[in-house]
Amino acid sequence: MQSKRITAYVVLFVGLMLVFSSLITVAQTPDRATREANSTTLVVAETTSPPTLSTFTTTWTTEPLEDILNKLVSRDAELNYRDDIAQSWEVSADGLVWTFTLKPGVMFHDGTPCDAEAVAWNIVTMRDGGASSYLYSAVQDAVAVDSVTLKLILKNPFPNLLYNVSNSFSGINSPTAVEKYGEDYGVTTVVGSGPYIFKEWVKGDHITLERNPDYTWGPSWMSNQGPAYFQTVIYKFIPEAVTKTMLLQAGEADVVNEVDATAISAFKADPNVTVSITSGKRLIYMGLNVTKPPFDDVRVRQAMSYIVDRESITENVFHGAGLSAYNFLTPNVQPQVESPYTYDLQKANTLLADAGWTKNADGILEKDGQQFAIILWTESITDRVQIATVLQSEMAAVGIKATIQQFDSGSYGDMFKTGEQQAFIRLYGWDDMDILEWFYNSKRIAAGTNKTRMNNSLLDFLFVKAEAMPTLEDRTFVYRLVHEYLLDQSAWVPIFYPAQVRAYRADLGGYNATLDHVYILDLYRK
Amino acid sequence: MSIYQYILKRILMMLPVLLAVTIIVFSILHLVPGDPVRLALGEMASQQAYDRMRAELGLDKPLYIQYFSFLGRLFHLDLGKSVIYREDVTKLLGGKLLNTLELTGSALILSYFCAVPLGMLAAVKRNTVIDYLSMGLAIAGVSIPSFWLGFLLISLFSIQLHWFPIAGYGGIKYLVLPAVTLGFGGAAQVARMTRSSLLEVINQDYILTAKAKGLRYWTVITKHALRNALIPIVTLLGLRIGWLIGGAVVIEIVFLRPGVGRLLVSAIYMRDFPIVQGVTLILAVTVILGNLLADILYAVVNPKVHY
Repeated sequence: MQSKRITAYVVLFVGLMLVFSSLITVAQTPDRATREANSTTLVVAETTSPPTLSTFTTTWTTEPLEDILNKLVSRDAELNYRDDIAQSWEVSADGLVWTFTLKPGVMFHDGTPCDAEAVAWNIVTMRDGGASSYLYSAVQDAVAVDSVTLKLILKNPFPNLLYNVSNSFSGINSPTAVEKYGEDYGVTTVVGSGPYIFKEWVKGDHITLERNPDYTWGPSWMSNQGPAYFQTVIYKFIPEAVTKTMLLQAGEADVVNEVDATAISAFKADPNVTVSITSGKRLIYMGLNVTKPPFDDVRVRQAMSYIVDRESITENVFHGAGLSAYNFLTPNVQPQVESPYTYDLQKANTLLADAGWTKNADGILEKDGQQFAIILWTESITDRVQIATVLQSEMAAVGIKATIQQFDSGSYGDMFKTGEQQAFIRLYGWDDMDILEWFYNSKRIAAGTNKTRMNNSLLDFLFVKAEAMPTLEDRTFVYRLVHEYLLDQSAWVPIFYPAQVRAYRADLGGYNATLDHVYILDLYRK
Repeated sequence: MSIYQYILKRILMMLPVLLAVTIIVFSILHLVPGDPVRLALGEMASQQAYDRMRAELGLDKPLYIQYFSFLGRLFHLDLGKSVIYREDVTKLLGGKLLNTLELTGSALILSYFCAVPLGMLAAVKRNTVIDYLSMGLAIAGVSIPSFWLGFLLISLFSIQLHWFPIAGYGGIKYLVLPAVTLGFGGAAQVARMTRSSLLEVINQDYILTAKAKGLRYWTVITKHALRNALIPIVTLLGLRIGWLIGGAVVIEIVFLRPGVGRLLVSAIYMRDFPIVQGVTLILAVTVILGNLLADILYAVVNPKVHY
């Protein structure tokens, strides 16, 4: 009797479940079907055309690659490490072995499996000669235990590994395709396991992608884990800000990345356009060569930090599309430290006087018969030149004579190898603390990367220590010391954090973006 | 000298000019600062990848060897491989050159078809409203920067009236606005030249004689006056070809047309030596051939001209 009742309950439960699931299916299927029917072609306006699509042969990255390639680990909008191809991971107590468990059934667009062996091949190939080999320099070996288990054996504990496997240069390519196409890989095709398949690339003009209908392994933090809604995505490369603005307003483009600050008000006034402003991962700063007078004196460098009215630059040059910068790291990146420098001409004058600089009859600072006259380098980009002009007048207010020298972007980077720079305006875009090592390690002076030419044994020691720290907390602690010391040394004057400004047509739903990318997977036309 | 001998002579004379172009462009590119490999790989690329790419492209060799290997390849019509795109320059340029020629050709035809009649009308109706309007339009054409005119036309015909797409390529509707923008400045020059040249001719005695013989006025103008007046206009044609190709750079950027001008600008920024050398060489050939065409046309419009 009792077993009959149990059976009846089970039957009832199963029946109810079936009814619910069919209701859910009914509710979901038309929704997806409608979205797919409405979402035929998406046009994304990008500023810069990529040189190649192979992550093995360039460190340039581009938005289309984020749709073509999956990574081992992804990062959500709050910069938390989340699943991508790997659904989970763990690290051994000594920090030397990382074990990643991959999602089963992930396939590349060429039909080959994207399994542990393929991921291991990508990591070893990049480490042994890829353009971004530094990403995996701590990896001694990558072992595919089985198709879904990957072990990374490290030479030393490297708590920043998750950042490296999740950044834009770590996309997983099909080993079969890389070997098949050889030198042409990244030039004529690129094969990954992402929601979109590479279709066409007209160099310097556009890249066309087609939906991957078999995609079912989207990261869990996205609202869509299945195939993307848009059938075709066209990335158009448009350097002209005005053209991008007009295309979006006329509906000939759906998403604009890197919106010019001057276009924001027009977009906000347009009911057909939505503007998304989030904090970015870029910093514009003025660098000072610590080996060249007068900036070989730390007091003079500190004075420069007090001279700059950052709030005025934020408002007048960038129309408020970003934040005034006081740290060397961007706002999302730890460790942030308290900066002593604000706009304070009195403090600047005191420091300059302490350093022996006094004003002559013309109001120009002088020391030992030498005028305080400097050359300020800048790239010939509109906002950089505007900043240089503001800085020139701010320096003039305390008696510094600055001459602006402009360079085109092709030659600017190369000029730093000469070591002739005195003061220069520069931008970097990176969202990890190790950028400080990149710009301040003395071993990078010759290559022109350490542009302030700071050769400091304490800093070099701290950089080595930071790399060997067993945990992220310890690493952050060391970088905090580095950051505080660098602020004191003032070889950079942080100026502005440009915001990440994007705009998209108001008829798009599912807008989901991180610092790096607008995730097309979630986007659909309403 | 027959016209064929003349053409052969001019083509042979092209060779030293082109050689000089290659030497000048090669020297300038290597004199200005900027490392194409570093720009292609990115600042953070490993030294190993950097060294490998320099060796692959032969950039680790002395300059004179690089130049002679470029010349050697040129004899086989091989312009080398793009540093940035890692693709054969000839292949990269193929479709883009056609796009540029389509744009410049349309602009040239448009400017001559509109400007010559306009200039004639202004000359014939000298000091009338028609003359003032025509020359006012011509002055506007000479003075308005082409990129600004481009944005104005987009604003009116694409955004307000929706007659043409804003930018892109793929058919006649994508060609109209860029061709008008590019041709407008040139049309203004041609119209002014036609007017002044025709005015000079129609005051001459043989025109008076033709009129006195009772010929119809427009027959005198088109058959007798215009033919002689065309000489300076044809000279302008040769010069216009070079100017149009230069102007196409801006128009291709504004209207997003994938042509050699747009490619050249990005290649200069990225110090992509093979592309810059290849495009410059092709443009030099086009300009020289354009001038040759103008020289040949002299004989066509005026039988008195001999070579």
